[in-house]
Amino acid sequence: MAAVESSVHRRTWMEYIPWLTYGRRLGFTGFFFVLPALIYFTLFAFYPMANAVRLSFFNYNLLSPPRWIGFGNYEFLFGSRQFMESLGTTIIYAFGISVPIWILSMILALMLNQNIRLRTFFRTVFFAPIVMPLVVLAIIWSLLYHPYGPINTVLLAPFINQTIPWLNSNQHALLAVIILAVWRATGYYGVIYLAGLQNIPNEYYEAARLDGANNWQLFRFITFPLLRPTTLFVVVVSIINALRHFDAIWIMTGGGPGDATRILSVLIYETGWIFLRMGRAAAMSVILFLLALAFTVVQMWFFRTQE
Amino acid sequence: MLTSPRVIRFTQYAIIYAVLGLGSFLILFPLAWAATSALKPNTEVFAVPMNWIPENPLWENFILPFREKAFGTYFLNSIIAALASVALTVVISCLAGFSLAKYRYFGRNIAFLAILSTMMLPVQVILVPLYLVVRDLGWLDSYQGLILPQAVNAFSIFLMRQHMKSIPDDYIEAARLDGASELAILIRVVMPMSRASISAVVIFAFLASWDSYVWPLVVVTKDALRTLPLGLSMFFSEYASEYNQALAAASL
Repeated sequence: MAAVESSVHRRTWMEYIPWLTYGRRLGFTGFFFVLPALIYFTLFAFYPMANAVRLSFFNYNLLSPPRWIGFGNYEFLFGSRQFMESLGTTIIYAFGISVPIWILSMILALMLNQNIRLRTFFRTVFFAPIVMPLVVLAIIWSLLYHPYGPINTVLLAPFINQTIPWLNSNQHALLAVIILAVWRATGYYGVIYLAGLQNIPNEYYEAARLDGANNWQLFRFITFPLLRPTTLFVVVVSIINALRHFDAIWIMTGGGPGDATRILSVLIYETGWIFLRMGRAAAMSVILFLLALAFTVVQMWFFRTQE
Repeated sequence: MLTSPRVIRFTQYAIIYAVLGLGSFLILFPLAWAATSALKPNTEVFAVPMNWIPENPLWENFILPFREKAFGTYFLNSIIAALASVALTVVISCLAGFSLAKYRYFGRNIAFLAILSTMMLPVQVILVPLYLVVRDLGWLDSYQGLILPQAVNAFSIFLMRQHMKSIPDDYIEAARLDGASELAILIRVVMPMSRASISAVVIFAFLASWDSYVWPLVVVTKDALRTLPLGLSMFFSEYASEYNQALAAASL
């Protein structure tokens, strides 16, 4: 590499340092390029993450200095019924959103991958909700869910003869926010699946058809296995995304009625910024992080053993 | 029973179109309903049977939000935040993506993994300490505090790195032989070849910033710094029973 240096080359400051060979100099330059990103994430991700762990051992209300209380926050949380219920709600919410999304978005992609007319139209329609601000959708949907709103009076009226108080009832509120989330995200993951489908070479299908495989066998033995990397991505990302949902629930129900939709992210916000218990909120954050990590590791492991 | 392949084929397509049609209806119904209801008087919003076309469209519904709340300011703030996020994202992700794709140095893979791992981090996990960082920097209620901490997403770095890895080394070597500095190689050779990925990154960063709600909610208390999502949700909670105007504001 050093041999290619041209004679008209102007020397930069690094070339005056004798132990820096050409390759090392390039390496240094590369390191300088990644430095802004590292500084950025150190300041706004790694350091806060470490600090969350530290804070979770303190009692801190922003006003007086933090006071060390050991595992006090964790002890409180695991004894608190509200927290344990919130943990359960979070898990139901995360799976309630992602499982339907896995199935629906794959079906959607399989259908859009057929040779059909209006494909661009359908793709645009299904992708539309993800580009609309969630706050806007939350407002629209909380009116849709109004007891006299169009979901009851127009969509469901022909089928059930009953007014469902969606957001005001313990039994329906969680379902209502899950429906909104599935409605919004299915098209997005559908497009990701579609990209995965289009990477599968057509020859595989032709060869299998020659061998007399039917449609189900094509899906079972070609499409599904070859989509595994896409599926892993969709599964992991959809669950992690569900864990960070906040906006729609905060606007539509504020965590209620009762504790019906109080998922962890809502509880963290309330504990930290309404009750000013930063240490306790940090402890919840750490548990949320472990939950996210556990989901990810389990899924990675699950998909690895199938190989 | 005899079913010809053509009949099977036909039913298959009929099912596909029916399902896609139903799906599109379910996606479009709420949006269409919101758009027409925004133009109705409040009493007609929930009228049964519903009218798809309002009899006397009330365009004034769109004016009230601007009179009652500083929606002009919110809009401007959202634009400023989105553009700043986009600019910062493009600079940082191009530099980092290029570095992670095309240079070899000690700790490169660790740096890449570390950056990737932040993608797996829900914002709520670092909400408290991030707030404290911004407070210690004295950035509460400021544009820096509003924009910087959530501007760059590791996903954009990942995207740029994957794309730049696919650019053949020969182009870079050739530019180097011509005496181009490393930064010039990035700006003049690699970035023009990554236009598609850069535009994807721009769109992602813009949408993420435009949509962000939790962080502005936490860090901003001054009305003059509120962004559209904050303004909207406040307007909604104050005028929750003025359905038509809430929808008009949302449709904007």
